[in-house]
Amino acid sequence: MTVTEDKTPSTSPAKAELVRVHMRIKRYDPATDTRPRWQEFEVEMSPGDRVLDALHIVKWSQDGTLTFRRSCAHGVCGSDAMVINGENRLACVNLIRDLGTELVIEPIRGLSVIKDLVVDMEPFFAQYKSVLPFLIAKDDPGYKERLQSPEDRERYDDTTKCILCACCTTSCPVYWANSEYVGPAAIVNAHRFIFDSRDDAGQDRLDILNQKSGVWRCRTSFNCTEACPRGIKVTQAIEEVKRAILYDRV
Amino acid sequence: MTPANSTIYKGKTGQWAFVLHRITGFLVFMFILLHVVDISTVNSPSIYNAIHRLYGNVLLRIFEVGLLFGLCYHALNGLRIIMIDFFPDSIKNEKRVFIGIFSLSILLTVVGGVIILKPFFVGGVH
Repeated sequence: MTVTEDKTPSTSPAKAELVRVHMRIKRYDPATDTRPRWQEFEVEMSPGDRVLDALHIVKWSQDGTLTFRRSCAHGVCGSDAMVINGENRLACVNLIRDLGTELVIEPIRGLSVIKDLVVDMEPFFAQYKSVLPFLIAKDDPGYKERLQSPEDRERYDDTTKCILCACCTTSCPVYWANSEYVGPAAIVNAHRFIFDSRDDAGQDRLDILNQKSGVWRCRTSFNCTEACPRGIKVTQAIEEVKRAILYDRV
Repeated sequence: MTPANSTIYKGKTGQWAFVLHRITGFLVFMFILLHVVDISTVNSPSIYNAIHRLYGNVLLRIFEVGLLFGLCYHALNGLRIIMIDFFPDSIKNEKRVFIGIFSLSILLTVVGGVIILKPFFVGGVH
């Protein structure tokens, strides 16, 4: 093994090279527009910056009327789901480096647009609430915890990761055409309690999902699984619920 | 270039498998309606024969090749969906299965297409 004597750093690690990012954003202001329109922006960004940073630069220095949702900005709250370069993604966890310098940004589909990239999430949350997404247990353990084996916990581990960003539901072709469909996100959250050994209302949820607007609307297009920023195997969860209804077992 | 007002969602193979399943399903259904009409003329041999001579026309033979693809794809993708529904572990392989059934549909269409269109090349049609 040879040791090189030259210890002087070739360049200082200070400034990463900036790249020019061209953004096309679908905008809609109900006060002035009759239909959505596209607007283009140019920003200088570091390749390690996120799409959300580019949106911030636009909003803070070029056009303050640009409207979008974001809260935590770290992929946990699920506020900034949008269609970026044709796919549902969270703006806060996708880097310029990975998506390139040509960005096309639109609001998520299947929910009505309130302004620019902000959509009305109420129908989405109503569908989420319709599947009883909370623990329903008959027995009262008093001041003790409800214990569960690691194997029982593992059964629904994947579906506990949901952050309700609506990336899955609004990527579903069936949901675009039929807003009555309860949608992948609601089924994922039903799955989380249906297969929880401490819960007693699995059958009630299966009855809700066995209705016309329930799991049978799923046509296994896998868009939800591809879109989920948390990597939840959404189609697999929906299929597990379908089989639970079909074979009458939880 | 001004971008179109609506863009196409960039789904992966599953989305296109679904779209193609819908389109081929619709075409097969329309063909069945047509088939019911042409078979219903069986009691009037002259009309029945005239319709079936029309089916021997090169354009309709090419249409039949398209129909063959529609039938093969719809049937095989239907089996893929049944596989996803009933065999829990198979969901991991759905993309490879899609590529497999799509290739098989094309292969069957090419083989069937040669048989359907052969009369036009060897002079078997009048």
